[in-house]
Amino acid sequence: MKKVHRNIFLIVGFILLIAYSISFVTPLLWAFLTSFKTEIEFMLDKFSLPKSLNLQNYITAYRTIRVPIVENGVSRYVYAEEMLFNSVVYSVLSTIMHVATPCITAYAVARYNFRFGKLLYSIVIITMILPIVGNLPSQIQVAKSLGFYDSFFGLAIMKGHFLGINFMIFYAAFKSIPKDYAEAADIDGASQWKIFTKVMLPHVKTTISAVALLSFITFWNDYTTPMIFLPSKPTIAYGLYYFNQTTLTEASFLTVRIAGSMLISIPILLVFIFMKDKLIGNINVGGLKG
Amino acid sequence: MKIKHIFLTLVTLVGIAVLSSCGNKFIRYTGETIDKTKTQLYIGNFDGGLGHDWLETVAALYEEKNPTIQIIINNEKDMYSDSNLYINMPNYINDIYFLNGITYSNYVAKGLIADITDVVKGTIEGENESIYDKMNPTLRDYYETDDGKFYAVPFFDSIFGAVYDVDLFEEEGFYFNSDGNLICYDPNNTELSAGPNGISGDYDDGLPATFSQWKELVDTIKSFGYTPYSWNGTYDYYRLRYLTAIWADYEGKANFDLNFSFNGEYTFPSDEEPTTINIKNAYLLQKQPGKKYALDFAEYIIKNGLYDRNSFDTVNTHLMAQETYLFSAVNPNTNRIAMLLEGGWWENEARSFFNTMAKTYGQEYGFGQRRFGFMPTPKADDGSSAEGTTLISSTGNSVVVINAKTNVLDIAKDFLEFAHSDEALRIFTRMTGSVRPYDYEMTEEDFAQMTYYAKNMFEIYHNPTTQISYVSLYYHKAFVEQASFLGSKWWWNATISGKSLAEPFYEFSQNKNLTAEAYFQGLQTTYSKNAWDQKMSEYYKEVE
Amino acid sequence: MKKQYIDEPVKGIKKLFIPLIIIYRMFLDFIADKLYSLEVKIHQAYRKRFPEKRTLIKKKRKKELIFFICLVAYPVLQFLVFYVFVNINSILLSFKKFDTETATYFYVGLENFKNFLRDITQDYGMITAVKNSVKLYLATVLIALPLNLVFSFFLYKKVPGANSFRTVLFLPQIISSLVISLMFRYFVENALASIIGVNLLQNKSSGFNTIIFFCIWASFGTQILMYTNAMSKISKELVEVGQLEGMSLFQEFWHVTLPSIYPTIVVFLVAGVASLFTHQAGLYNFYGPSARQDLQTLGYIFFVKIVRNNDAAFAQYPYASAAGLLFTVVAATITLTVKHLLEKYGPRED
Repeated sequence: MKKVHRNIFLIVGFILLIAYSISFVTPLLWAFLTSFKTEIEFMLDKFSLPKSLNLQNYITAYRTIRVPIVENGVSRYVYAEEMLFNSVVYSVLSTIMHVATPCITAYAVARYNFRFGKLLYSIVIITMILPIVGNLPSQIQVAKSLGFYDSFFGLAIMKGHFLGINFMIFYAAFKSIPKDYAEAADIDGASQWKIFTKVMLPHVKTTISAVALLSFITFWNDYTTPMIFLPSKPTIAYGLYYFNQTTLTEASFLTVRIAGSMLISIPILLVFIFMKDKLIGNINVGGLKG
Repeated sequence: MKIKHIFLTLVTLVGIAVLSSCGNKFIRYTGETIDKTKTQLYIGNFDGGLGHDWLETVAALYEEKNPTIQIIINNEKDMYSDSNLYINMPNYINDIYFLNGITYSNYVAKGLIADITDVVKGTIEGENESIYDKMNPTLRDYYETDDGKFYAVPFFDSIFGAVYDVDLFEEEGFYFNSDGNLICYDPNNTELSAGPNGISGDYDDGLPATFSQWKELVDTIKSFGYTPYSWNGTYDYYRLRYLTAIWADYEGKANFDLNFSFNGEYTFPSDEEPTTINIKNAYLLQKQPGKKYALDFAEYIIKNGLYDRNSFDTVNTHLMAQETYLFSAVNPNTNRIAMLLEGGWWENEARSFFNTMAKTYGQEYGFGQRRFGFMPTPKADDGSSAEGTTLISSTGNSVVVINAKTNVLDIAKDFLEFAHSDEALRIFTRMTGSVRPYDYEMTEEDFAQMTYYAKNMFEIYHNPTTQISYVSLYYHKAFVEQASFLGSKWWWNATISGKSLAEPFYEFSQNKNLTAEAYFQGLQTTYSKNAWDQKMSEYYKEVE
Repeated sequence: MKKQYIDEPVKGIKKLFIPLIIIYRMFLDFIADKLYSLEVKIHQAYRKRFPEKRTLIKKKRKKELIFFICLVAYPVLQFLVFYVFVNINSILLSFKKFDTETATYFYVGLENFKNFLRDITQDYGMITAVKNSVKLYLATVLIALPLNLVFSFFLYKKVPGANSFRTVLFLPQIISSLVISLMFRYFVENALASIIGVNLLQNKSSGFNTIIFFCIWASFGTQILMYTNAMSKISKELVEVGQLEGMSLFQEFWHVTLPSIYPTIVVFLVAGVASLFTHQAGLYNFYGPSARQDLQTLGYIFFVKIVRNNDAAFAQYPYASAAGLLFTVVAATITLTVKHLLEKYGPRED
């Protein structure tokens, strides 16, 4: 009897999850197939399979994915390959700052027993609970006055704060390391720096890699921040946004727009396909405090 | 080990990226190479529906005549949009621009564009007229400043309205005969009626002359299994412009133009005496019966399902609507579409799809092989419409200007003059099918190279009963300064039970109980005396 | 001894890359060695200058303090500038006004607050946005949260194919939200509309509900990971005791799982209150700055106002800051109330 109930429950769950998966994959699959269709094929039937592996839409998209910018008083277009470069620089620099800062701060607060550390901890908790809304204009102003506007490093520094969930994750991770490790090293005469890098960091390396990968993907896909803070350095995500809003005649047909979106998704999908197990597994390991 | 790996990988990535960026490898050179023995003239061309082939031809001719000059054309769209250009013009290299959709007074105020009075008023080389003499008088008055100067000259004219498929209309007999019956029902009499302008033997013969004839036509089209109307869903101003075209034709040019000049006399249907319209009472213009007349069309089209089902799909861009329209002639899965709401440039814009269709379905579907025409607005049944034909051009704000910072002002002016010679004007019309608002004649040879649709448009433009209203010109400075109140809202924004409605076609499709009359009242609610006083009182002193 | 650069078995296509992998790992090791020897050298030089004395607790404490200060110096500075100063500046900004002619800000007192309060009570667009935002927030709490919990529970209980589902549920976090939004929009407006004959996004009656559906549909991922993670830490004995007592799976979910992961749920509920004022509902992805009025949310309206880099946007900064300040007060009140209530009436861990 119990077994039957259990099975029914699991079957219901299975059906729900299957339904969700189908609903999620359908639009993406439809878009993928559509990206190979010619205009005529598309107008004849929106759901037919493409007749051939026609890459014309991709070629058109690659040629027309571009963003006009002004740099040092000269206007020009930024094309896909430069946007790709901008994306790499923006995501890597921001990821480093966004992961290293809370990690270092969390270590300092978790390991050393200073009153100031407790203050930092309270700051994190309070800022997490009390949200501040609508300070974006002020952020832009401050960035401009400090020369951080339109600069990869400036933006990375702005992203390099210790507030938020990352701090909590690292704090929990460092707290869970038994004190003996550090004390043993201390007695051996290791310097504080050495204890941090050689003894403590290796214990949280899975957490770091998981958080870093997640941050990297988030930065890679984020187009609004570069749109606001990096006007002359458009990233590929912003390029995609721009491509789908453009009035350019060549890019006005749906099949070309979809092909552009597919083209731009390829890098991050490759990352996902090759690192899938690692990513999901690691996030499990490095999750929040229980 | 792992952290180190990740960290070093990231650093390596950045390193590679930084190294590979040296030497501007990313810039794609597409233009011509610069010939150092010549002087360069850079032209910025708004690469919209007109394309750039005509400009290249004109430039090649000019280079032939002036061998020391090299012309480099930059064809752009987003970069030369009003908002972008206004900010970035000082950063652009171009000496001379061919633009569309520009609020040129802003550029004058900021000192971005050069004074070209001398070239506009001087006689064109080899001709005995000046650009000034040739220019359309309405636009001449608009672009001439109070002290007689010119900073811009108009670029091109495009009549906006319904395009119809002449082949389909002839095939099925959708024209009215001289007895006032549709030929498909009365095939014995094939003599066409005189059309809305009442003159036989011109472009509008056989087209619906009255609102009831129009209703009969569109109902017939639908009952024959065709879709009467189609338009794009991405840009709702296409629909608004069609309504504006109906409204303008009903009111006639003089009365319609009051809506942007705020200066003149108007007799409302309920009054006997004319009212003097000025900035203080211009909100009254929302009561113009032409608006109600246009709303009747919108209501009829929507409530009777006379439109293509993709028409409100915001993914359906102008290009897709054009292609769907063209392709509907052969598409076995959809109804053929009879009419498309578009600007005069559309045929040229869809040129590449004509060629695609020709490849698959035969030469008879190629560019210039199919016949399309312009359908003028039918007159009101009770005869209250104005005399003649009033058409709207949405491109009165398309301009040719010279960059104030140019180093080759004389060459730029010389080219501007050349671009307005009869020869260059004819090239423009021959190759784009659109008209420039100047006085010039086409030869038989030119006509032979033009499509049916382009000839049709040229004929309408030069028909003696035709008058053009320019809907995008802002005579009153309030249009620029109070853009959020008087901008796009001014034409068709209604307020009904506190809700703001922006576009009648869409609102009729959403609310089955909404009537044209209610929408018409809603227009007057948005522009009540109160609201008007609140925003406009600072301009009242002009008339006091 | 020669170092082993490949110690795990290499299969398939990866074999082709063995030389590359070896070179790469050698390179990493080389850099690491260099860094280490440099560090050793510095350390030795330091020891030479300051020979080690008998360590006193105090001295050690002092060393620790110096190291501590070194670690937190940058984060604290960053915090002072980009949190403390930014927010003070934001408050000041809300009392100012932008002058287009001179491109400067000057103080005007409470004008922005007055304008904002007028708009939020009278302006049709703003009132719609408030309604939409509340609707969306309630939907995330009442529909999305239970769905997340149920899905997590199924994954935790290992339904058939749990691992594949885990991947699919994580996809919305991997694929750019922009791509998902655009493909969803294209599919619904173009493809789906041609089957069912109704454009769900463009129809006023179904438009915002479709947006809500989209927001829930595309929001799985992080939360599910956190919840499954929390569930996997529930002690096995507790579950077994329950099973012995004859609990059904549903009872287990209700009486064992939910109370155990309650703290995690509270974190998400408390942190989610701000989304009431910041959630853009994917509208910028869908429509850029020109979404239809009846779809807009507060987050979207205020984002669009300031996002452009031009005078018109600069002129909106003070207004947006004023609104932000008031929203912050409201959000803080709601958050503290929610937190208080959740802690007071939630299940207690005994």
